[in-house]
Amino acid sequence: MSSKNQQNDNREILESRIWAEEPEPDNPFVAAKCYCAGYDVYGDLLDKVGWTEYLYLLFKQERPALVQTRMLEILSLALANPGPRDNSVRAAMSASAGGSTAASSLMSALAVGAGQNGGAREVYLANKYWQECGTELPKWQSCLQHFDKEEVEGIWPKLEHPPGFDPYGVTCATPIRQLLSRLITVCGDESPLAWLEKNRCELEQITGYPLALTGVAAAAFFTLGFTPQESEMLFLLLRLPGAAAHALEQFLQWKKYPFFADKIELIGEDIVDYGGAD
Amino acid sequence: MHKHVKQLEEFEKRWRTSVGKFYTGERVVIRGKDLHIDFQDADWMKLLVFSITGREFTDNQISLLSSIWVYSSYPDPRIWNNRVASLTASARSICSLAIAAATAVSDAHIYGGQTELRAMTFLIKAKYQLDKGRPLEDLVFAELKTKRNIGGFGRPMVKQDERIPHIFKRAKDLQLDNGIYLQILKDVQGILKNRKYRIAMNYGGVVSALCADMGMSPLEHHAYLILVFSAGMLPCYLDALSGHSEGAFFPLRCNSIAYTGPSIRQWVV
Repeated sequence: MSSKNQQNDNREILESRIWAEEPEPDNPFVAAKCYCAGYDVYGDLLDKVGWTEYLYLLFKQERPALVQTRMLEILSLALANPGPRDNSVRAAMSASAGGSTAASSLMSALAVGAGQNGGAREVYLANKYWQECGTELPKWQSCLQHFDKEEVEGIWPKLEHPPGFDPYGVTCATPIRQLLSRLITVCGDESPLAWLEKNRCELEQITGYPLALTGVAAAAFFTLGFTPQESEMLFLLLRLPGAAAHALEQFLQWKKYPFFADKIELIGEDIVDYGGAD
Repeated sequence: MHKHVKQLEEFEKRWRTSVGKFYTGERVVIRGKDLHIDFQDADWMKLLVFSITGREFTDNQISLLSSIWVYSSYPDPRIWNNRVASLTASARSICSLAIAAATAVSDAHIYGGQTELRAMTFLIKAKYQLDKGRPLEDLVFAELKTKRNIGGFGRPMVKQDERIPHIFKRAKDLQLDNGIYLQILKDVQGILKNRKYRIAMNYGGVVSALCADMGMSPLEHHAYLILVFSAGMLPCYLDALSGHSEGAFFPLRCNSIAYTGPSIRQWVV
Protein backbone atom coordinates (compact mmCIF):
# COMPACT_ATOMS: atom_id res chain seq x y z
CA MET A 1 0.00 0.00 0.00
CA SER A 2 1.45 3.37 -0.87
CA SER A 3 0.02 6.82 -0.45
CA LYS A 4 0.75 10.19 -2.01
CA ASN A 5 2.65 11.34 1.06
CA GLN A 6 5.32 8.70 0.50
CA GLN A 7 8.56 9.44 -1.32
CA ASN A 8 10.22 7.06 -3.75
CA ASP A 9 12.33 5.58 -0.95
CA ASN A 10 9.11 4.69 0.94
CA ARG A 11 9.46 7.37 3.64
CA GLU A 12 6.33 9.19 4.74
CA ILE A 13 6.28 12.97 4.16
CA LEU A 14 4.53 15.59 6.24
CA GLU A 15 3.76 18.91 4.61
CA SER A 16 4.01 22.08 6.66
CA ARG A 17 4.04 25.74 5.79
CA ILE A 18 4.98 26.54 9.35
CA TRP A 19 8.09 24.61 10.12
CA ALA A 20 11.35 23.53 8.42
CA GLU A 21 14.43 21.86 9.84
CA GLU A 22 18.02 21.21 8.87
CA PRO A 23 19.54 18.07 10.41
CA GLU A 24 22.73 17.86 12.44
CA PRO A 25 25.53 16.48 10.25
CA ASP A 26 25.87 13.37 12.42
CA ASN A 27 22.19 12.61 12.96
CA PRO A 28 19.34 13.04 10.50
CA PHE A 29 16.82 12.68 13.32
CA VAL A 30 17.99 15.73 15.24
CA ALA A 31 17.56 19.26 13.97
CA ALA A 32 20.47 21.67 13.86
CA LYS A 33 18.28 24.52 12.67
CA CYS A 34 14.56 25.08 13.06
CA TYR A 35 12.78 27.62 10.93
CA CYS A 36 9.39 29.04 11.73
CA ALA A 37 7.86 30.71 8.69
CA GLY A 38 11.40 31.20 7.45
CA TYR A 39 12.89 32.65 10.62
CA ASP A 40 15.71 30.75 12.38
CA VAL A 41 14.05 30.15 15.76
CA TYR A 42 17.11 29.34 17.87
CA GLY A 43 19.69 31.25 15.85
CA ASP A 44 17.81 34.48 15.31
CA LEU A 45 14.45 34.86 17.07
CA LEU A 46 15.11 33.82 20.68
CA ASP A 47 16.12 37.19 22.09
CA LYS A 48 14.36 39.33 19.50
CA VAL A 49 10.66 38.49 19.72
CA GLY A 50 8.23 38.06 22.57
CA TRP A 51 6.03 35.02 23.14
CA THR A 52 2.94 36.76 21.72
CA GLU A 53 4.69 37.68 18.48
CA TYR A 54 5.92 34.13 18.13
CA LEU A 55 2.41 32.78 18.76
CA TYR A 56 1.08 34.99 15.96
CA LEU A 57 3.93 33.93 13.69
CA LEU A 58 3.10 30.25 14.30
CA PHE A 59 -0.54 30.73 13.40
CA LYS A 60 -0.18 33.21 10.55
CA GLN A 61 3.38 32.67 9.33
CA GLU A 62 3.96 36.40 9.17
CA ARG A 63 5.12 39.05 11.62
CA PRO A 64 2.32 40.79 13.47
CA ALA A 65 2.02 44.58 13.29
CA LEU A 66 2.63 46.42 16.55
CA VAL A 67 -1.12 46.92 17.04
CA GLN A 68 -1.78 43.22 16.56
CA THR A 69 0.89 42.24 19.07
CA ARG A 70 -0.49 44.62 21.66
CA MET A 71 -4.06 43.41 21.09
CA LEU A 72 -3.07 39.76 21.38
CA GLU A 73 -1.12 40.53 24.56
CA ILE A 74 -4.15 42.20 26.15
CA LEU A 75 -6.42 39.36 25.09
CA SER A 76 -3.97 36.69 26.33
CA LEU A 77 -3.83 38.35 29.71
CA ALA A 78 -7.60 38.72 29.90
CA LEU A 79 -8.15 35.07 29.06
CA ALA A 80 -5.26 33.53 31.05
CA ASN A 81 -7.26 32.88 34.19
CA PRO A 82 -11.03 32.52 34.05
CA GLY A 83 -10.89 32.05 37.84
CA PRO A 84 -11.77 29.07 40.01
CA ARG A 85 -15.54 29.37 39.50
CA ASP A 86 -15.21 28.82 35.78
CA ASN A 87 -16.24 25.34 34.64
CA SER A 88 -12.97 24.60 32.87
CA VAL A 89 -10.85 25.61 35.86
CA ARG A 90 -13.12 23.64 38.16
CA ALA A 91 -12.59 20.58 36.01
CA ALA A 92 -8.82 21.01 36.33
CA MET A 93 -9.09 21.46 40.10
CA SER A 94 -11.43 18.47 40.42
CA ALA A 95 -8.76 16.33 38.81
CA SER A 96 -6.00 17.69 40.99
CA ALA A 97 -7.91 17.66 44.30
CA GLY A 98 -8.02 13.87 44.12
CA GLY A 99 -4.35 13.65 43.18
CA SER A 100 -4.83 12.86 39.50
CA THR A 101 -2.12 13.56 36.96
CA ALA A 102 -1.14 17.01 35.72
CA ALA A 103 -2.15 16.06 32.20
CA SER A 104 -5.60 14.97 33.33
CA SER A 105 -6.08 18.41 34.93
CA LEU A 106 -5.34 20.19 31.69
CA MET A 107 -7.27 17.63 29.62
CA SER A 108 -10.23 18.27 31.88
CA ALA A 109 -9.86 22.02 31.46
CA LEU A 110 -9.74 21.53 27.70
CA ALA A 111 -12.72 19.14 27.61
CA VAL A 112 -14.89 21.50 29.59
CA GLY A 113 -13.44 24.70 28.12
CA ALA A 114 -14.19 23.39 24.65
CA GLY A 115 -17.93 23.84 25.06
CA GLN A 116 -20.59 26.07 23.58
CA ASN A 117 -21.44 27.58 26.94
CA GLY A 118 -18.59 29.94 27.77
CA GLY A 119 -16.05 27.81 25.93
CA ALA A 120 -14.00 27.67 22.77
CA ARG A 121 -16.83 26.41 20.58
CA GLU A 122 -18.83 29.47 21.48
CA VAL A 123 -15.92 31.64 20.32
CA TYR A 124 -15.74 29.61 17.10
CA LEU A 125 -19.46 30.15 16.41
CA ALA A 126 -19.38 33.83 17.34
CA ASN A 127 -16.39 34.35 15.05
CA LYS A 128 -18.40 32.69 12.26
CA TYR A 129 -21.11 35.30 12.79
CA TRP A 130 -18.47 37.99 12.45
CA GLN A 131 -17.26 36.47 9.17
CA GLU A 132 -20.88 36.41 7.91
CA CYS A 133 -22.21 39.68 9.31
CA GLY A 134 -19.20 41.96 9.68
CA THR A 135 -20.46 45.32 10.90
CA GLU A 136 -23.93 45.16 9.37
CA LEU A 137 -26.57 45.28 12.05
CA PRO A 138 -29.48 43.79 10.01
CA LYS A 139 -27.36 40.72 9.27
CA TRP A 140 -26.53 40.35 12.97
CA GLN A 141 -30.20 40.69 13.80
CA SER A 142 -31.10 37.83 11.48
CA CYS A 143 -28.23 35.58 12.68
CA LEU A 144 -28.87 36.15 16.37
CA GLN A 145 -32.63 35.75 16.09
CA HIS A 146 -32.28 32.45 14.29
CA PHE A 147 -29.30 31.03 16.17
CA ASP A 148 -31.26 27.92 17.20
CA LYS A 149 -32.28 27.15 13.62
CA GLU A 150 -28.67 26.61 12.59
CA GLU A 151 -27.62 23.21 11.46
CA VAL A 152 -25.74 21.56 14.31
CA GLU A 153 -22.25 20.56 13.23
CA GLY A 154 -21.87 16.80 13.68
CA ILE A 155 -21.29 15.80 17.28
CA TRP A 156 -22.03 19.17 18.87
CA PRO A 157 -25.18 19.62 20.96
CA LYS A 158 -27.91 22.00 19.84
CA LEU A 159 -27.22 25.63 20.72
CA GLU A 160 -29.13 26.89 23.75
CA HIS A 161 -28.19 30.57 23.57
CA PRO A 162 -26.83 32.92 20.91
CA PRO A 163 -23.04 32.52 20.86
CA GLY A 164 -21.09 35.39 22.38
CA PHE A 165 -23.77 36.29 24.91
CA ASP A 166 -24.17 35.25 28.52
CA PRO A 167 -27.33 33.15 29.05
CA TYR A 168 -27.20 33.86 32.78
CA GLY A 169 -26.02 37.48 32.64
CA VAL A 170 -28.04 40.47 33.76
CA THR A 171 -25.97 43.33 32.42
CA CYS A 172 -22.67 43.24 30.61
CA ALA A 173 -20.10 42.54 33.32
CA THR A 174 -17.52 45.20 34.19
CA PRO A 175 -14.42 43.18 33.17
CA ILE A 176 -15.96 42.52 29.76
CA ARG A 177 -16.60 46.21 29.16
CA GLN A 178 -13.11 47.01 30.47
CA LEU A 179 -11.52 44.51 28.10
CA LEU A 180 -13.52 45.82 25.17
CA SER A 181 -12.56 49.42 25.82
CA ARG A 182 -8.86 48.59 26.37
CA LEU A 183 -8.75 46.70 23.10
CA ILE A 184 -10.37 49.64 21.31
CA THR A 185 -7.77 52.08 22.64
CA VAL A 186 -5.23 49.92 20.79
CA CYS A 187 -7.06 49.04 17.57
CA GLY A 188 -8.97 52.29 17.08
CA ASP A 189 -12.47 53.63 16.54
CA GLU A 190 -12.89 52.17 13.06
CA SER A 191 -12.36 48.58 14.19
CA PRO A 192 -15.04 45.84 14.49
CA LEU A 193 -14.47 46.03 18.26
CA ALA A 194 -15.45 49.71 18.26
CA TRP A 195 -18.55 48.80 16.25
CA LEU A 196 -19.35 46.14 18.85
CA GLU A 197 -19.04 48.65 21.68
CA LYS A 198 -21.28 51.12 19.84
CA ASN A 199 -23.93 48.52 19.03
CA ARG A 200 -23.63 46.42 22.18
CA CYS A 201 -26.93 47.53 23.72
CA GLU A 202 -28.80 46.93 20.49
CA LEU A 203 -27.32 43.43 20.10
CA GLU A 204 -28.14 42.69 23.72
CA GLN A 205 -31.71 43.75 23.10
CA ILE A 206 -31.98 41.42 20.13
CA THR A 207 -30.69 38.42 22.09
CA GLY A 208 -32.09 39.29 25.48
CA TYR A 209 -28.69 38.52 26.99
CA PRO A 210 -25.67 40.68 27.81
CA LEU A 211 -22.44 40.41 25.84
CA ALA A 212 -20.14 37.70 27.20
CA LEU A 213 -16.36 37.38 27.33
CA THR A 214 -16.59 34.85 24.49
CA GLY A 215 -18.27 37.57 22.38
CA VAL A 216 -15.45 40.05 22.95
CA ALA A 217 -12.84 37.34 22.38
CA ALA A 218 -14.50 36.34 19.10
CA ALA A 219 -14.63 39.97 17.95
CA ALA A 220 -10.99 40.49 18.92
CA PHE A 221 -9.86 37.34 17.10
CA PHE A 222 -11.88 38.47 14.05
CA THR A 223 -10.25 41.93 14.18
CA LEU A 224 -6.86 40.23 14.38
CA GLY A 225 -7.67 38.25 11.23
CA PHE A 226 -8.07 34.84 12.88
CA THR A 227 -10.50 32.34 11.37
CA PRO A 228 -13.18 30.65 13.52
CA GLN A 229 -10.98 27.52 13.77
CA GLU A 230 -7.91 29.53 14.76
CA SER A 231 -9.99 31.43 17.33
CA GLU A 232 -11.27 28.21 18.85
CA MET A 233 -7.77 26.80 19.17
CA LEU A 234 -6.30 30.00 20.62
CA PHE A 235 -9.12 30.37 23.13
CA LEU A 236 -8.50 26.81 24.37
CA LEU A 237 -4.77 27.44 24.62
CA LEU A 238 -4.84 30.88 26.20
CA ARG A 239 -7.09 29.86 29.09
CA LEU A 240 -4.83 27.04 30.31
CA PRO A 241 -2.46 29.01 32.58
CA GLY A 242 -5.16 29.70 35.16
CA ALA A 243 -6.41 26.12 35.06
CA ALA A 244 -2.86 24.90 35.67
CA ALA A 245 -2.18 27.27 38.56
CA HIS A 246 -5.49 26.55 40.30
CA ALA A 247 -5.04 22.82 39.79
CA LEU A 248 -1.65 23.00 41.52
CA GLU A 249 -3.17 25.02 44.37
CA GLN A 250 -5.80 22.30 44.97
CA PHE A 251 -3.49 19.29 44.58
CA LEU A 252 -4.64 16.58 47.02
CA GLN A 253 -6.80 19.13 48.87
CA TRP A 254 -9.86 16.90 48.50
CA LYS A 255 -10.74 17.17 52.18
CA LYS A 256 -11.16 20.94 51.85
CA TYR A 257 -12.37 20.96 48.25
CA PRO A 258 -16.17 21.36 47.81
CA PHE A 259 -17.90 17.98 47.60
CA PHE A 260 -21.58 19.00 47.55
CA ALA A 261 -22.01 16.20 50.07
CA ASP A 262 -25.73 16.58 50.64
CA LYS A 263 -26.59 18.10 47.29
CA ILE A 264 -27.64 15.07 45.30
CA GLU A 265 -31.29 14.32 45.29
CA LEU A 266 -32.19 10.99 43.82
CA ILE A 267 -35.73 11.17 42.51
CA GLY A 268 -37.89 8.33 43.78
CA GLU A 269 -35.31 7.14 46.30
CA ASP A 270 -34.07 8.18 49.69
CA ILE A 271 -31.52 10.96 49.54
CA VAL A 272 -28.06 9.45 49.30
CA ASP A 273 -25.67 10.85 51.86
CA TYR A 274 -22.01 10.02 51.60
CA GLY A 275 -21.27 12.02 54.74
CA GLY A 276 -18.34 14.36 55.14
CA ALA A 277 -14.68 13.56 54.66
CA ASP A 278 -13.22 11.59 57.53
CA MET B 1 27.10 6.52 11.46
CA HIS B 2 26.20 6.77 15.12
CA LYS B 3 24.44 3.72 16.57
CA HIS B 4 21.47 5.80 17.71
CA VAL B 5 20.93 7.06 14.20
CA LYS B 6 21.16 3.51 12.90
CA GLN B 7 18.56 2.50 15.45
CA LEU B 8 16.24 5.31 14.43
CA GLU B 9 16.71 4.40 10.79
CA GLU B 10 15.64 0.88 11.65
CA PHE B 11 12.65 2.15 13.62
CA GLU B 12 11.76 4.45 10.77
CA LYS B 13 11.19 1.45 8.52
CA ARG B 14 8.68 -0.64 10.43
CA TRP B 15 6.65 -1.27 13.56
CA ARG B 16 7.03 -4.86 14.63
CA THR B 17 4.15 -6.21 16.66
CA SER B 18 2.37 -9.41 17.49
CA VAL B 19 -0.70 -7.53 18.65
CA GLY B 20 -2.60 -7.50 15.41
CA LYS B 21 -3.34 -6.09 12.03
CA PHE B 22 -6.23 -4.97 9.89
CA TYR B 23 -6.00 -6.51 6.43
CA THR B 24 -8.04 -3.95 4.52
CA GLY B 25 -11.32 -5.36 3.31
CA GLU B 26 -10.38 -8.91 4.36
CA ARG B 27 -9.95 -9.67 8.06
CA VAL B 28 -8.59 -8.48 11.39
CA VAL B 29 -6.02 -10.37 13.42
CA ILE B 30 -5.89 -9.83 17.16
CA ARG B 31 -3.02 -11.54 18.96
CA GLY B 32 -3.00 -14.37 16.44
CA LYS B 33 -6.76 -14.88 16.32
CA ASP B 34 -9.33 -13.84 13.75
CA LEU B 35 -11.50 -11.14 15.32
CA HIS B 36 -14.64 -11.93 13.35
CA ILE B 37 -14.36 -15.72 13.50
CA ASP B 38 -12.77 -16.55 16.85
CA PHE B 39 -14.72 -13.84 18.69
CA GLN B 40 -17.94 -13.81 16.66
CA ASP B 41 -20.16 -14.50 19.68
CA ALA B 42 -17.82 -13.31 22.44
CA ASP B 43 -18.91 -10.65 24.88
CA TRP B 44 -16.84 -7.50 25.09
CA MET B 45 -15.11 -8.26 28.42
CA LYS B 46 -13.78 -11.53 27.02
CA LEU B 47 -12.27 -9.71 24.06
CA LEU B 48 -10.98 -6.85 26.24
CA VAL B 49 -8.95 -9.04 28.61
CA PHE B 50 -7.71 -11.18 25.73
CA SER B 51 -6.59 -8.06 23.87
CA ILE B 52 -4.74 -6.87 26.97
CA THR B 53 -3.14 -10.13 28.07
CA GLY B 54 -3.15 -12.41 25.03
CA ARG B 55 -4.47 -15.14 27.32
CA GLU B 56 -7.87 -16.78 27.45
CA PHE B 57 -9.87 -16.52 30.66
CA THR B 58 -12.52 -18.99 31.85
CA ASP B 59 -16.20 -18.09 31.70
CA ASN B 60 -16.30 -17.72 35.48
CA GLN B 61 -13.30 -15.39 35.39
CA ILE B 62 -14.93 -13.26 32.68
CA SER B 63 -18.09 -13.08 34.80
CA LEU B 64 -16.12 -11.90 37.82
CA LEU B 65 -14.16 -9.38 35.75
CA SER B 66 -17.48 -8.01 34.45
CA SER B 67 -18.92 -7.80 37.97
CA ILE B 68 -15.86 -5.85 39.15
CA TRP B 69 -16.76 -3.21 36.54
CA VAL B 70 -20.48 -3.33 37.28
CA TYR B 71 -19.95 -2.75 41.00
CA SER B 72 -17.87 0.38 40.34
CA SER B 73 -20.32 2.07 37.97
CA TYR B 74 -21.51 4.93 40.18
CA PRO B 75 -23.54 7.54 38.33
CA ASP B 76 -22.84 10.19 40.96
CA PRO B 77 -21.67 13.56 39.63
CA ARG B 78 -19.97 14.52 42.89
CA ILE B 79 -17.23 11.95 42.43
CA TRP B 80 -14.36 13.88 40.91
CA ASN B 81 -14.02 12.00 37.63
CA ASN B 82 -17.78 11.94 37.04
CA ARG B 83 -17.88 15.62 37.90
CA VAL B 84 -15.62 16.36 34.95
CA ALA B 85 -18.13 14.52 32.73
CA SER B 86 -21.02 16.55 34.18
CA LEU B 87 -19.14 19.83 33.86
CA THR B 88 -18.29 18.99 30.25
CA ALA B 89 -22.00 18.57 29.50
CA SER B 90 -22.94 21.63 31.54
CA ALA B 91 -20.48 23.59 29.40
CA ARG B 92 -22.19 22.01 26.36
CA SER B 93 -19.03 20.35 25.22
CA ILE B 94 -19.02 16.89 23.69
CA CYS B 95 -19.34 13.40 25.07
CA SER B 96 -16.03 12.00 23.85
CA LEU B 97 -14.11 14.84 25.50
CA ALA B 98 -16.08 14.31 28.70
CA ILE B 99 -15.26 10.62 28.86
CA ALA B 100 -11.64 11.04 27.76
CA ALA B 101 -11.00 13.67 30.42
CA ALA B 102 -12.94 11.83 33.13
CA THR B 103 -11.07 8.64 32.26
CA ALA B 104 -7.74 10.44 32.57
CA VAL B 105 -8.90 11.85 35.91
CA SER B 106 -9.67 8.32 37.09
CA ASP B 107 -5.95 7.67 37.42
CA ALA B 108 -6.21 9.38 40.79
CA HIS B 109 -4.12 9.08 43.91
CA ILE B 110 -6.97 8.60 46.39
CA TYR B 111 -9.17 6.42 44.20
CA GLY B 112 -9.06 4.62 40.88
CA GLY B 113 -5.94 3.77 38.93
CA GLN B 114 -3.19 4.73 41.34
CA THR B 115 -4.75 3.00 44.36
CA GLU B 116 -5.21 -0.24 42.45
CA LEU B 117 -1.67 -0.16 41.18
CA ARG B 118 -0.36 0.44 44.71
CA ALA B 119 -2.48 -2.44 45.98
CA MET B 120 -1.17 -4.90 43.44
CA THR B 121 2.43 -3.79 43.91
CA PHE B 122 2.07 -4.39 47.64
CA LEU B 123 0.48 -7.82 47.15
CA ILE B 124 3.27 -8.93 44.85
CA LYS B 125 5.86 -7.73 47.38
CA ALA B 126 3.97 -9.57 50.13
CA LYS B 127 3.93 -12.84 48.18
CA TYR B 128 7.65 -12.50 47.47
CA GLN B 129 8.21 -11.95 51.19
CA LEU B 130 6.28 -15.11 52.04
CA ASP B 131 8.04 -17.12 49.32
CA LYS B 132 11.35 -16.16 50.95
CA GLY B 133 10.01 -17.47 54.25
CA ARG B 134 9.86 -14.05 55.88
CA PRO B 135 6.91 -13.08 58.09
CA LEU B 136 4.23 -10.90 56.54
CA GLU B 137 4.13 -8.69 59.67
CA ASP B 138 7.62 -7.34 58.91
CA LEU B 139 6.52 -6.05 55.50
CA VAL B 140 3.24 -4.63 56.80
CA PHE B 141 4.93 -2.57 59.49
CA ALA B 142 7.82 -1.54 57.25
CA GLU B 143 5.28 -0.20 54.73
CA LEU B 144 3.39 1.63 57.45
CA LYS B 145 6.60 3.14 58.74
CA THR B 146 7.98 4.33 55.41
CA LYS B 147 4.79 5.10 53.43
CA ARG B 148 2.26 5.64 56.22
CA ASN B 149 -0.18 3.50 54.25
CA ILE B 150 -0.53 0.08 52.72
CA GLY B 151 -1.58 -0.56 49.14
CA GLY B 152 -5.09 -2.04 49.11
CA PHE B 153 -6.11 -0.58 52.45
CA GLY B 154 -7.86 2.65 53.50
CA ARG B 155 -10.45 4.74 51.65
CA PRO B 156 -11.26 8.46 51.53
CA MET B 157 -14.62 9.79 52.77
CA VAL B 158 -15.89 6.61 54.42
CA LYS B 159 -14.40 3.73 56.37
CA GLN B 160 -16.45 0.93 54.83
CA ASP B 161 -16.50 0.05 51.16
CA GLU B 162 -20.00 -1.01 50.17
CA ARG B 163 -18.72 -3.00 47.19
CA ILE B 164 -16.63 -5.42 49.20
CA PRO B 165 -19.32 -7.80 50.54
CA HIS B 166 -20.82 -8.01 47.05
CA ILE B 167 -17.58 -8.79 45.29
CA PHE B 168 -16.61 -11.36 47.94
CA LYS B 169 -19.97 -13.07 47.47
CA ARG B 170 -19.63 -12.99 43.70
CA ALA B 171 -16.11 -14.43 43.85
CA LYS B 172 -17.33 -17.18 46.18
CA ASP B 173 -20.30 -18.04 43.93
CA LEU B 174 -17.92 -18.29 40.97
CA GLN B 175 -15.41 -20.33 43.01
CA LEU B 176 -12.71 -17.74 42.50
CA ASP B 177 -12.09 -16.83 46.13
CA ASN B 178 -9.40 -19.36 46.94
CA GLY B 179 -6.33 -17.66 45.46
CA ILE B 180 -3.11 -16.93 47.33
CA TYR B 181 -3.28 -13.15 46.80
CA LEU B 182 -6.78 -12.88 48.27
CA GLN B 183 -5.55 -14.92 51.26
CA ILE B 184 -2.61 -12.52 51.70
CA LEU B 185 -5.03 -9.58 51.66
CA LYS B 186 -7.15 -11.20 54.37
CA ASP B 187 -4.03 -12.02 56.40
CA VAL B 188 -2.84 -8.40 56.22
CA GLN B 189 -6.28 -7.26 57.40
CA GLY B 190 -5.94 -9.70 60.32
CA ILE B 191 -2.49 -8.36 61.21
CA LEU B 192 -3.76 -4.76 61.18
CA LYS B 193 -6.79 -5.66 63.26
CA ASN B 194 -4.71 -7.52 65.87
CA ARG B 195 -2.51 -4.44 66.29
CA LYS B 196 -5.63 -2.22 66.57
CA TYR B 197 -5.00 -0.33 63.32
CA ARG B 198 -8.32 0.98 62.04
CA ILE B 199 -7.52 0.66 58.34
CA ALA B 200 -9.93 -1.48 56.34
CA MET B 201 -9.16 -3.17 53.06
CA ASN B 202 -10.49 -1.25 50.07
CA TYR B 203 -12.14 -2.39 46.85
CA GLY B 204 -8.91 -1.81 44.93
CA GLY B 205 -7.19 -4.24 47.27
CA VAL B 206 -9.79 -6.96 46.69
CA VAL B 207 -9.86 -6.38 42.91
CA SER B 208 -6.06 -6.43 42.75
CA ALA B 209 -5.94 -9.68 44.69
CA LEU B 210 -8.60 -11.31 42.50
CA CYS B 211 -6.85 -10.17 39.31
CA ALA B 212 -3.43 -11.25 40.58
CA ASP B 213 -4.95 -14.66 41.34
CA MET B 214 -6.10 -14.77 37.70
CA GLY B 215 -2.48 -14.23 36.67
CA MET B 216 -2.65 -10.57 35.68
CA SER B 217 0.47 -8.44 35.95
CA PRO B 218 0.21 -4.94 37.48
CA LEU B 219 0.23 -3.38 34.00
CA GLU B 220 -2.40 -5.78 32.63
CA HIS B 221 -4.53 -5.13 35.69
CA HIS B 222 -4.16 -1.37 35.29
CA ALA B 223 -5.10 -1.59 31.60
CA TYR B 224 -8.13 -3.78 32.37
CA LEU B 225 -9.39 -1.13 34.82
CA ILE B 226 -8.91 1.97 32.61
CA LEU B 227 -12.58 2.07 31.58
CA VAL B 228 -13.99 0.63 34.82
CA PHE B 229 -15.95 3.78 35.72
CA SER B 230 -17.27 4.52 32.24
CA ALA B 231 -20.80 3.22 32.83
CA GLY B 232 -21.09 5.74 35.66
CA MET B 233 -19.63 8.63 33.69
CA LEU B 234 -21.82 8.39 30.61
CA PRO B 235 -25.15 8.90 32.40
CA CYS B 236 -23.63 11.82 34.34
CA TYR B 237 -22.73 13.46 31.03
CA LEU B 238 -26.08 12.68 29.41
CA ASP B 239 -28.10 13.82 32.41
CA ALA B 240 -26.26 17.15 32.61
CA LEU B 241 -26.74 17.57 28.86
CA SER B 242 -30.37 16.59 28.40
CA GLY B 243 -31.86 16.71 31.88
CA HIS B 244 -30.56 20.10 32.98
CA SER B 245 -30.05 23.60 31.59
CA GLU B 246 -26.60 24.57 30.38
CA GLY B 247 -24.41 25.97 33.12
CA ALA B 248 -26.69 24.49 35.77
CA PHE B 249 -24.17 22.17 37.42
CA PHE B 250 -23.57 23.73 40.84
CA PRO B 251 -22.74 27.30 39.76
CA LEU B 252 -20.47 29.05 42.25
CA ARG B 253 -21.01 32.66 43.21
CA CYS B 254 -18.12 35.12 43.55
CA ASN B 255 -18.32 35.02 47.31
CA SER B 256 -17.78 31.30 47.19
CA ILE B 257 -14.11 32.07 46.73
CA ALA B 258 -12.36 32.62 50.01
CA TYR B 259 -9.34 34.70 49.10
CA THR B 260 -6.27 34.30 51.32
CA GLY B 261 -3.59 36.00 49.23
CA PRO B 262 -1.89 39.44 49.52
CA SER B 263 -4.08 42.54 49.84
CA ILE B 264 -5.18 44.53 46.79
CA ARG B 265 -2.22 46.51 45.38
CA GLN B 266 -1.15 48.45 42.29
CA TRP B 267 1.28 47.34 39.62
CA VAL B 268 3.85 50.13 39.72
CA VAL B 269 5.99 50.56 36.60
